[in-house]
Amino acid sequence: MLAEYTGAVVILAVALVLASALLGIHLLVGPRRSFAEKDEPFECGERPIVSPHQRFSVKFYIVAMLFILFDVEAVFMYPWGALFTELGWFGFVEMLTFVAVLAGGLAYVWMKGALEW
Amino acid sequence: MNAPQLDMAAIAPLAFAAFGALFVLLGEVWLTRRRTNEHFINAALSVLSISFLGLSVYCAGAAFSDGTTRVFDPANPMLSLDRFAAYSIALIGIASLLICFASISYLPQVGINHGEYYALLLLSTAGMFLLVGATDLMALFLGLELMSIPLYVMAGFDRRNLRSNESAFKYFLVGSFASAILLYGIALVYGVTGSLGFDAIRAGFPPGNPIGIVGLGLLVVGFAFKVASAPFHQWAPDVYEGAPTSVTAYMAITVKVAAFAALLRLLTQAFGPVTASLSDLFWVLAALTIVVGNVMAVIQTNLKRLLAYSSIAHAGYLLIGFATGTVEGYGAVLFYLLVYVFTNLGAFAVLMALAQGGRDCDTLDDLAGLARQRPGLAALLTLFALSLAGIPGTAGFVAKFFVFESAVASGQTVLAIIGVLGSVVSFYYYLRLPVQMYMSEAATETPRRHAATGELLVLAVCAVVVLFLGFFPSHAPGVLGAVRALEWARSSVAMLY
Repeated sequence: MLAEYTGAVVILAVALVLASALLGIHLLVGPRRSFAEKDEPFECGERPIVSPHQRFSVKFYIVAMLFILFDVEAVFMYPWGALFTELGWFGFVEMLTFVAVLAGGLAYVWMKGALEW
Repeated sequence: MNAPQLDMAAIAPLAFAAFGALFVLLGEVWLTRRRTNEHFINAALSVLSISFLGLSVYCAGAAFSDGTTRVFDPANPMLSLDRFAAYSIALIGIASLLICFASISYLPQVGINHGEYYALLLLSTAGMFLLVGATDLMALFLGLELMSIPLYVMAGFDRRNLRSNESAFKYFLVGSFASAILLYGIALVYGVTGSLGFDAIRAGFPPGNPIGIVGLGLLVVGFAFKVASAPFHQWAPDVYEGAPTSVTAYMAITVKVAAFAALLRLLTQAFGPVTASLSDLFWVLAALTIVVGNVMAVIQTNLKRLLAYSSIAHAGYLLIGFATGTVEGYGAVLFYLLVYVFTNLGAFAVLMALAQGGRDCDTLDDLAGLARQRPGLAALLTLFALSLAGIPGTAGFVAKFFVFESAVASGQTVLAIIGVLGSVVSFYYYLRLPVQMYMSEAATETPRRHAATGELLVLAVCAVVVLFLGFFPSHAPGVLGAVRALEWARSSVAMLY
């Protein structure tokens, strides 16, 4: 019964060996030279020209959140499109219901003014 | 592919709650563009939510009296509406509906009068309906998430209050952690049985397989987090304290009903043969939860924290029923949940009725002198506190009696004794409420508002149910003879076997 998990254990072992080998080789043969710019916490090796702490509009978050919502909608549409003829009317009605619920969400954010910049 | 034969009646309660949420959400923006009176909008949305929840409860009630099992998709059974699901849905639906009534005046009082509250509440309720009807681990997980995610938002609904934010964040972190543990358990169970449906798991569960046992254990731990059972309870007091009182009531009451009902169905339908070996696990959980809940409640001065530890203790009494593993024990659990809903809702409704001027009533000192200022509310809170403690004549006593009786009948006498001792300890902190209300006076007297109609309605319903079930748990005289709460609970559980 446990033998069924041999594959998983092998993958785990290979992953461990590979990861430690790659990091180990890097540590052993990689050159290590340190200079002021490289020790800066920002912009690996480049001298920063402005302060990294900048204010930017909270609206970006709203747009990003809404993007995820409708992006996921599109992801669900791909499998439906690939099986469109097989699923037939049943799939069509299911998808319409799904899109209608999301359209309700879109109407909500639109009327709330979340899409105004 | 042929279109599956779907039984739409099986998802009627769920659909009413889910589409209700959509209507409330759109109704909120539609109304705010036309009306400026916030109280009118709030009341209208609340009434809209109440009507949708009423439809759900009606469907569940019809399915309950009908008694037949409806499976949404018989070719691929993931969700069914049977007597057990109908009982739980009706209970959760009524609790949510009453909380909507009480929220009409509570939300403006604490200054969080936003219509999205009702949409989130309906969505979360829809998740609970899915959770109690699920006969497949995937549907179960979906229901659990649909229940939890709106709750995280609701816990932080008072978004300008730091405590509320803390509550939401803690609940989110612990809740996600619990979901992850549950999901890992689901993965392991799927690994050994090769299926997610309850019936198929029961047929294919290899007894003695360590991976299967670990999977089952992780599932139980995931649920133990959700119902706040020790040692997975530490989040509950902080989350309950910070959230607005109406949300605390909703979290403490409906989540517990939904999670316990789902666990009950999972154990009986998917793991029937191995529950005997689980008995020891539930024994430890129950004993630990009773001791921790009751002892920690003694030192609380914050009312919401006190009720949080009290709800942990109640989870312990409920787990006694799980430790018995008998039909009587599970029936007692279901009856206990019914009593728990109305007793706790009553106690929280009094706290909601005492919130005013943007402030929750949440410390013991806030209760000082209440008996003189608002004798009615003080008397009701005393009644609910006595029922929570389990004084004879109240529903709380009857519920505890049946749980302890089932424990003794199945040979778990020690556990019953721990439960009784826990109840004795609980008298100390429940009686502090009447002592504070009747025997001490506030240092500075602030005038208290009158309770609103919605709150009075909730209080009246809860008080009537608590007293009625206290005197007539199984047989009532006269026209009320049709109310056989204990029989309903037992027949719902018996149907799962």
